[in-house]
Amino acid sequence: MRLLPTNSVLGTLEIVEIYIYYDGPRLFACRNKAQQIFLAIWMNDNEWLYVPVSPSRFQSVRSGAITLFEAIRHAEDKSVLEVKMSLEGQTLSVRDIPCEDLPADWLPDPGERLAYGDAKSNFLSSASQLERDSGREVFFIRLYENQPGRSEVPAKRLGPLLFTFQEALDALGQSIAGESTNRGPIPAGMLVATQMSLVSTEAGSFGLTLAASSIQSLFGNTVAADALDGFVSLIEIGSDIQKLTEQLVKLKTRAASKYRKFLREVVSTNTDLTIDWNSARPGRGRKARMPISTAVDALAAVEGIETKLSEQLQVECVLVGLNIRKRTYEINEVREQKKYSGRIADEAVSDVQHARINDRYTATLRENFETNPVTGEEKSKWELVALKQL
Amino acid sequence: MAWPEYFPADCPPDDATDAVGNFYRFAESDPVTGKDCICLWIRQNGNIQGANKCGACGLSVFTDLKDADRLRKIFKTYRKKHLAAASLATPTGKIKSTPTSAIKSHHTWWVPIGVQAETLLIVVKEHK
Repeated sequence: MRLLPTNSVLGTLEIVEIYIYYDGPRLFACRNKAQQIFLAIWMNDNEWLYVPVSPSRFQSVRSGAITLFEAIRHAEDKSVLEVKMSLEGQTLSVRDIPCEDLPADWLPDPGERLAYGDAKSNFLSSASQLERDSGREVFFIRLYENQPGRSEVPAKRLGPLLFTFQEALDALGQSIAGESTNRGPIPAGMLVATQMSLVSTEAGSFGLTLAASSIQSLFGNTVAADALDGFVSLIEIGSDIQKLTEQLVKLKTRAASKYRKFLREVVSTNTDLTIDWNSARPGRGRKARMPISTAVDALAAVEGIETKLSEQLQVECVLVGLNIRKRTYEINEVREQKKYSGRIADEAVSDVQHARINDRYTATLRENFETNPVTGEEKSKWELVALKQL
Repeated sequence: MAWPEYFPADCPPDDATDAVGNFYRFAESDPVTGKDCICLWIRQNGNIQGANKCGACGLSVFTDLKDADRLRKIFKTYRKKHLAAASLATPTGKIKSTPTSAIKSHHTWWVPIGVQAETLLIVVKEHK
C-alpha cells in the first residue's frame, strides 16, 4: 500500500504539510505538479478522501477559520474524491462524490478544526515557489499584525491601499527605468510592465498575494522586479529622513508623491505592514516590515521631502477669491492674466487670515498631481503655500 | 537493546528515552494481536513517501486520552477501534515525543527485537 495514489487523475502528488500522524500521515495537505492542493483525510487502510482546495480555502482550513467538517462537507467544488488503493500501491479507483452524498459517519465532528495559527505557512512559500517557477514576481502583503485576531479588511480601505500600491510601483518602475516624468500620463507600456494582480487572500491577520503580470525575461530582470526592489527599499528605510531624502531625490517627484499616497492609506488603515517579495530571480527577493508607528513617521518625513522636491511657482497676482473655512483660493496672475485656484496648504493658513479681495500679492504655489482612479488620467493642481502682500 | 535490521542507522534517535510509563494505542481486536502492532515501514513494505523512515519503524502511541477522543472525532476508523493501554515499569524499547499540530501527545515507540508489543497492551474498558 502506498501513502499517495499514483497514475491517477490527481497527478503526481507530494505531501506539503502533515496535521495528524498516527502510524503514518492521516490528515495532510498535498499538491500535484499543476499546483492543485488537496486536503487528504484517511478513511481506512485503502481508502482516502481528497478534497481539492484553493490556496485561500487551504489557509482558512489550516488556521482553523473553518472546520474540517465544513472543508469537506461544503467543499468548494461541491464534490470530493474517494481514492481507493490496492495493497501493492496501485490506484484502484478515483470516484467523484457529491458532498451531499457523503455518509455522515465519514465526516469529522462539526467542531473539529486545525489550529496552525495565523503564521504564514510553508505552503505559502510553496505557492510563491510556484509563481517563481512560472517566472513571475510574487509579492505578499500582510496587514493587521498590530491587531491580533483581525482577519478582515473593509473593501473601502483595501481598494485605495491596493490602488496606491500599484501607483507607487508604476512611478517607481518609470523612475528606475530612467524615464521619469513629473506630469502627464505614464506610458501604457510602463503600466503593463509594472502591473500586479491579486492572486489570493489569506485568512488570519489579513494576507494578500500579488503576482506580476509580466514574465521574467531571458536576462532575469523585469521592470516589475525593479519597481518592487525600489518599493521594498523604501519600506526598509522606514522613517529615516536622511536615507529617505537620498532615495526620493533619486526617484524624483512622482515616485515620492505616489509613495506618500500609499503611506497615507497605510496610516488611515491603521495597520502594520509586513511584505515578502519572492523574486523570479533567486536571491533578489526579501522581506521587510513597517510597524504603524514607523508608517506615521515615514509619512511625515515623505511629506516634508516631497515639498522640497515639488515644483514651486512664485507669481504676482490679485486675490479674487478666498474661503477660509473651506481653505480654497483663487488668484489672477498679473503678467499673463492666468487664473489659479485650489487648496490652501497648512503653512499658508496664517498668511490668508487677513488677506483682502482685490489686493495685490506675491503668491507661492506648489504643483500637486491627482489621479482619476477610473481613467488613470492625471490632473495638475496648484496649492497655495504662501501669500505675501506687495 | 537490539533493533530490527530494517531500522536505519541512528534509529531510534539519540534523544529518544527509555520507554517507561503509561501510554495508549488503538487496536483492532481484543485482546491485542501482533497485527495491531505492525509499524508503518513493514505494513507498507518500505513505501512511505512523505514519511520519515525512522519514524515509520516505530509505533504511534499517545499519552493523553483526550487525543484518543480527538482522533475518533476526526476519523471514522478509530471510532470502531479499541483503545489499549501499556503500563511499562521497566524500560522496554525507546520512546520520543513526536507531536503534530492536532495530536500534541503523540509519541513514537521503537520496539526492540524480542519484545512483542501486543503482549504489553491491554484493551481499556470504555463506557461509550
